[in-house]
Amino acid sequence: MVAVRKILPAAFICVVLAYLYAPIAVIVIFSFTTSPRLSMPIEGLTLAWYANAFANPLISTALRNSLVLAVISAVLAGTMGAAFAFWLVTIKRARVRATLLTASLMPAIVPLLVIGIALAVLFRGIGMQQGLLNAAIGHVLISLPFVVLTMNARLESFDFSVLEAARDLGATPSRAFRDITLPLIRPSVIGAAMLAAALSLDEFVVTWFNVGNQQTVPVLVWGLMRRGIDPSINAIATVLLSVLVCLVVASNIINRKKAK
Amino acid sequence: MTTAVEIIGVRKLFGATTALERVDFEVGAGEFVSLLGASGCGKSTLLRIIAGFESPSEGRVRIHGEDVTRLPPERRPTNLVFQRGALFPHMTVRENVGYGLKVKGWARTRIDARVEEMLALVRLEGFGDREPGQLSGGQAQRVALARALASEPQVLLLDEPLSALDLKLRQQMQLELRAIQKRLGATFVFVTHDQTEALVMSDRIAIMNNGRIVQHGTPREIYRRPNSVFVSNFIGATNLLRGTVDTRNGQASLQTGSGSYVIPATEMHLESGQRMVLSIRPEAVRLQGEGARVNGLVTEIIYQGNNVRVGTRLDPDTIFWAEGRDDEFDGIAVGDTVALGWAEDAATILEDDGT
Repeated sequence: MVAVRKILPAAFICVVLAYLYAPIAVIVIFSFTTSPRLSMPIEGLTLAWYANAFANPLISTALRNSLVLAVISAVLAGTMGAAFAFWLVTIKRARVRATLLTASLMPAIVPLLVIGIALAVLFRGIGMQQGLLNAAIGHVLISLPFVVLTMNARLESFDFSVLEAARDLGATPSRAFRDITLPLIRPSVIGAAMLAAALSLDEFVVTWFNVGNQQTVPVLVWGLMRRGIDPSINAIATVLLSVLVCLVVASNIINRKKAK
Repeated sequence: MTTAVEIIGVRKLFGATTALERVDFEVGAGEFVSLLGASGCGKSTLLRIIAGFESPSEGRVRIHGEDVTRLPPERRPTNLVFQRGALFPHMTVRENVGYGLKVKGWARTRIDARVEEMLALVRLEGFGDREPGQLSGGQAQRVALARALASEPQVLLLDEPLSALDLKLRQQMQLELRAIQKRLGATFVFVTHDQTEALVMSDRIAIMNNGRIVQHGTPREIYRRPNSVFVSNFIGATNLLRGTVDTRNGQASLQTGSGSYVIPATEMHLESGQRMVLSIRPEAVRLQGEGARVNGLVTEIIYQGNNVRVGTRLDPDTIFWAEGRDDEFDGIAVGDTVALGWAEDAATILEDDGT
């Protein structure tokens, strides 16, 4: 009985983890196998699908577009979110601060479908052609709340007395910002920007409604999937996965360093 | 003595709450003045008004004659040592200490020389390349002090800089701070809630309560001649006997539940029937002493090493404390009835302000 009671939770945890990771493992493994179909046992290993994927001009264009969107999201959402969070924490009245924070986070729980359609309708209304620019505006919008959230968490522990100390020692507000604030919050801003890039890279719904006939990696993959599963898709997905994992891990490391 | 800081009719409101009620106060050049009070009494607000981080709702602040009321902190000849140091975590100790000089545009070599001088002053030679994260609490506060002193402020402001340190270190830093202040001949305005700290360090203490300076004077004046029940309670321990004045037989006395006590000579005008309080320091109370005045039942004996404190019950509501050397209370036990006395002029008569 005792043994069962001990084994049961362990087994349950293993099952849940397997459930979480099995699909990912499958796609990574099959991006390296020779067989074009998903079948066991594995016959041989190859990098052909990667070569295939990168040789496809559609895929390389999509990859470039995705990277452009990711960079735009990182830079714009990163700076806007950081500035917003920074001014937010300087608000003295706690209730006003909490209300503004909640207001800035709300879009994160609005369904992407709603945001996507709303943006499409809006852009149409003001006569903006669908395209990368529209998608970029959408990407910045959906990553902004997450940037504000992570920046806010970091800044809550920011010791504002160091800014007062700088002023006290003769620095003007702008000098204090340059010498003290910026170096201190830079790692958090970079971490938050990487998160924004990660969110942008795999964004599909908002992109699909606004990008028009341009391609990003998720939109392209979705298109390819409709014609059956090509193992190149496994390769693209694995590339996307590794980029995202790198971004998230780097973002965490940077943020943790700051926390010390 | 010239005046370093003048606070003229300063009031400060935060929304509907009043942090300071019309404070008028002066600090002389070269003086070590402590602003002493419990948290929320307005002492830190007053300090921040002098530093320029808060602007007064009314009134003026002058430093060495110059009106600085509207000047931002970076243009005031004051520097502040913050409660928790507020060292720049991304700079070395040397960069921290030299920051104010760098901002002022000093040449590199001159900054370096000055920084070394400051580090020597706070006895941290060789710590220049450390990061603030590698310093102990006491070292960090010394760096903060060196940083604030580096640009030779006309007035140094200190906002409870020792409160985060443990007792031994705090006591040592108190003496060091005092020595540095004397050596430089600088004006220090020191905020603290610790009455011992204020007594040990200050030339003058200003006691604050509810946004007012309720009494100021030398530590001795404040301790010996508190002007209110609040001050006598706040500075040191004291015994308070409450009662009504009786002046009928020439000598004023205070009638209390536990007996009648002689009121020492006072400038106050006393009338029979007035509610007053007699304050007697425990260390002024002697066993059997000359003309024992009260009898009390010993309820507590607290051994403190150098001293012994004895608590006696005079009546159901009054515990009366005596404090003295160990040998003075030899042979006394809880449950004994003892006679206690004090020199008449060791008592202070105060108005009963209900505190």
